[in-house]
Amino acid sequence: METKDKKWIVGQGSHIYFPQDTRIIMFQVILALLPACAMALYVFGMDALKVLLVGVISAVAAEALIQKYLMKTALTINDYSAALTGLLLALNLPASSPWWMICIGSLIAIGIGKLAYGGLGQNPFNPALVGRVALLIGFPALMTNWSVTGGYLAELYRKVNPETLTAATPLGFVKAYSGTNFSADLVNYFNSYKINWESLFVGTTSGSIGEISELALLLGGAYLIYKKVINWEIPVSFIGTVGLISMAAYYANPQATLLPHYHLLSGGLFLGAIFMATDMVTSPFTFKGRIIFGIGCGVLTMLIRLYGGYPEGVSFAILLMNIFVPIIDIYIKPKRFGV
Amino acid sequence: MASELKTFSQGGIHVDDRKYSHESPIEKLPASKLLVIPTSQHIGAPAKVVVAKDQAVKIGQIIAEKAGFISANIVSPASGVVKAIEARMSPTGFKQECIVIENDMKDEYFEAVTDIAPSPEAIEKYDPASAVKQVEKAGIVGMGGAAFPTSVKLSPPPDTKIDTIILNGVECEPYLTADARIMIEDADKIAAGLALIMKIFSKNGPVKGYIGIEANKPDSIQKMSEAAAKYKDIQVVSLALKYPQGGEKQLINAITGRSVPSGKLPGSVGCVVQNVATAAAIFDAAVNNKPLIERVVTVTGLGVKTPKNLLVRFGVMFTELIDYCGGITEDAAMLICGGPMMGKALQTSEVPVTKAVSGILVLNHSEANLYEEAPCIRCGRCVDVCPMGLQPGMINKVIEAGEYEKLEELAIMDCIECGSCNYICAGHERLVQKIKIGKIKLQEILKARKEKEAREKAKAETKAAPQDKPGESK
Amino acid sequence: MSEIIMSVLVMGFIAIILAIALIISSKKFYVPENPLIEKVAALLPQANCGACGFPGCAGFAKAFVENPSPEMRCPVAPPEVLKAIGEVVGTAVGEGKPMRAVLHCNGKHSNVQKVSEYIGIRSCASAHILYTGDKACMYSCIGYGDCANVCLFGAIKIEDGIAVFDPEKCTGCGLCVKACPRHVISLVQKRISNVRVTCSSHDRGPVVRKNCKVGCIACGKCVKVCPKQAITVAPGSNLAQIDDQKCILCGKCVAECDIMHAITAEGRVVKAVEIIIKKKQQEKEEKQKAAALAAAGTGGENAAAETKEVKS
Repeated sequence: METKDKKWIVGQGSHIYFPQDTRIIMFQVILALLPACAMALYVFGMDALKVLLVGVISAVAAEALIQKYLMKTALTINDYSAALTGLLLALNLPASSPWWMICIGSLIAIGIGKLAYGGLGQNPFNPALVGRVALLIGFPALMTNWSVTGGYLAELYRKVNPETLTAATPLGFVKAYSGTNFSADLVNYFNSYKINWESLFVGTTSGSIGEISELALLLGGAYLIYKKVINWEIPVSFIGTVGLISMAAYYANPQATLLPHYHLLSGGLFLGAIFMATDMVTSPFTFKGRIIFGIGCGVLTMLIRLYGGYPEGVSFAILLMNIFVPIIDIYIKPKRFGV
Repeated sequence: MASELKTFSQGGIHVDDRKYSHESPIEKLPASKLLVIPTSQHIGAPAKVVVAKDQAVKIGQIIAEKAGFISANIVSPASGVVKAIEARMSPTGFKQECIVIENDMKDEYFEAVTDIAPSPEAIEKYDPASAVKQVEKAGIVGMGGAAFPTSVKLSPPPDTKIDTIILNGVECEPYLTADARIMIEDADKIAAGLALIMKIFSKNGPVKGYIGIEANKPDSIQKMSEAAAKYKDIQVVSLALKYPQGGEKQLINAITGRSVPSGKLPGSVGCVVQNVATAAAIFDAAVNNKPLIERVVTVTGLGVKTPKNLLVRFGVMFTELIDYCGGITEDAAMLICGGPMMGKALQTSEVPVTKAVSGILVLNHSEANLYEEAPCIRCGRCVDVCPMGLQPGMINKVIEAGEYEKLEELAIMDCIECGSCNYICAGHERLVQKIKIGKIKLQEILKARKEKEAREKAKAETKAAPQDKPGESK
Repeated sequence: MSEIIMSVLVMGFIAIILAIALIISSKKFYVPENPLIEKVAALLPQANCGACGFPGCAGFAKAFVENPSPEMRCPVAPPEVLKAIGEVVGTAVGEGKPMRAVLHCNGKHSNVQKVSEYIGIRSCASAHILYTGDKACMYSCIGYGDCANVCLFGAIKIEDGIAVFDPEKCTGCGLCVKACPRHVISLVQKRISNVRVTCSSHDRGPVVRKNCKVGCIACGKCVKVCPKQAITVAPGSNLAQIDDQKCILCGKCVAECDIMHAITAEGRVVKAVEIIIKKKQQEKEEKQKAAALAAAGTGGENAAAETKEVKS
């Protein structure tokens, strides 16, 4: 081709780019969630598969339909962000969730949590958490129905109590406890459902389908940190704060509190700290800001767990801290060069 | 050499360096028949044309004189006849006044030149008093790409005390290899040039010399170290690979640990930074009376068939250089003057090589950033990579909302437009382009504010004089 | 049941207390403001375009009521409104001639060559500081719509690469003139028709011809034909300019510019132009006929005259 007559493309530098763009970031997060999904399938069986599929499909469908018929804008489902929101929402639900509840959750997450604010990047709150919290408030019984029908847990429950096939989560047990001999009952409960720190870590206990296995979540988290999708600041400061406060709470009142490592390993702490609080859109820009954000999440989580009405507070804590992100970004600025 | 490589303190990105032409030696491109010389090849006021049409000129004859303090002379790169003085496309992307010279291929010099080889003895013997004049006469400007007039840099205000001279051999822009090749092939001249600059500044006290080179060029480091060993107080510093290490402020920070304050020049921390090619040119001009008539240009990118380093006369068209390298490939997409991070995209290859052209880059469709903008997902990587500690994402939002007054608080004027944020952006947002617009708007606002203040001051003064205005009574 | 009554009572009580507090504070902290300001502001178009030089319509109203002078004017408001304001305040608002914005470029994609692709922010200002634009002509309308974005009245559309103005909707506020980085928009009087040079190129004739099908090559024919000396070609500018104040909309220049079509007529004058062109054509044909007749009659003598005719 003649160099002289070539029609060139003109733009402003930089003219080369970093290949890890929005689409790839979203895809990598989904990839990082696969170990947790696999663990969910093993522990809850086909129930988990149903929840995951309905969650992802309904979220993508919600985004496509709202954008096409309500907003009349270009579809953005190709960037995987809707699929990720649906997946995160599904992982935050119990295995027994009915399909219609998941659809309502997806619609709220995508419609109110994300598109109402102007789409990807504009939302102040984590969309998946908006969906989950809406469901938690709207359907409190369904959202804490830990009954199972298949998988590893069903086998386990059959041995303990073949009629109900359900068990409280450790945090739920503590919050609902009304007896007098806390320590003995706790040990009794732990033994009957084979709960110890190993089983909590690996994930063979009851809970939302994605939050059970800290091992799988840590694997995903390590992958994301390696790929530089997330920074270590928020997970470390979040989990560290929860650890410190739970330790203090235990030594202040060992008679009615869980051991600190049970606080860490049960509930949605790791799922929240690694995958939800680190959501780029709703976390601060700067290193210091992220540390503050993580500590804030940890403090709020423990306040809710110890004194609140709900057994678990990770979702509320992250949503509450999301409110402060713009303020953190205004007041915590990076150090300018030469100032 | 320290075991841990030095680098600047904050921000920066790690770019795949893609130095395709690093192994190919510098080739001399024959001067062409017609040479087009823009009168504005440097930062500052365009030079004033002092030749007329049909006038005969020789190599080194000044054809356009510096106009103003920050400006540089333009010398004829060939002997021949001035064919025209007219507006033509220049590598800035705009039309500029150009002097067109028809080359008679005789290569006659206007003034006699010598051929003293670079050596410590030659520097020892040289009297630096006339050096700055010589540099000014030869029309030397910074050859790293910014093209700041060198004579201005060599004569700082009398109250600044310079104790460190840094030669910039970093070449942190990916693709470009011109400086690396010069350091391999002309190390002695560069070292002598640095010694000469140090001699110019040493009248106010001892001066140290550093040559900063990134660690991805071990052969350049080796050659430069050998050459520098002959001189006192010159040290070659091997630097970790990080963009934008070649930025003046970043390089000073990397080598000396000093931070140039916001809005100040390197002189405020006692440093002067020169490009390695400039140092060689300074030696030639000062010792051998050779004018600046040619430079090394890297022609590279996957859109060029065979990437090369070429020694080119000023005024030769880009088209000739690209065709000398085998022409462009089928999927060539962008033509860039300079490096891929800060270079200028051009719409035609019919522009001449000037003093500021460090490379000609032809990117193909897979390399070039041809994405449309997608929404910002607040990943915050732009904040992490900004070497000046700014918040490009925030600046982007403010500019999109049109709230230009807020830009002052966000210190947008500190931006060095290195393109790191633009490179890393997950949404492929055109951050540098927006920042450029923002800078213009902010300058307008600041100017308007100043004018308003001046007006109010004048008003207050007239009010202060009471009997001037009888209508003021109500 | 009693719970409902109780809550209604409590809420009602709180509402009454707050209402009383509001009433007291509104009386106590009342800031006297000239009621005229509000009246004037209500009359103004509320476009807040800033064309008057004050920050928005409220700003103009305040300034005008406090210090009325006929020099202050709102270029946007129709004459009835200005009259009404004058009656309210007692001093007439300066009534400028109604203006409208026009584009001095006809660089549609079909007329001007496209020489490069632009990638980046779709904004004329951004493209303008980057390079000479994706059209061959560096003076042309860039067509990315900075003017359309600032227009508060929806009068500007981008069609085929250039801005198209709706004379009905345009109020002549001048925001687009300020927004255009290429300075190809200007304000002219709002009349039933409009004649303007649709070119802003300062390039020399041959360059214009190469770049654009409809550019002004500064041949000067229009200058000669203008009965009011309203058209000038400033030396060195290579561009004809029509003085809108002097132009009487005769349309002769439009008809004269029949090679490059760089002068455009709009509105009622179009018909006049058609008539002039038809007349010219008829004259030409008649002359040709006469010449042919003469040529048939006397042979070579008139051939020279004919070539002269063609030249002129």
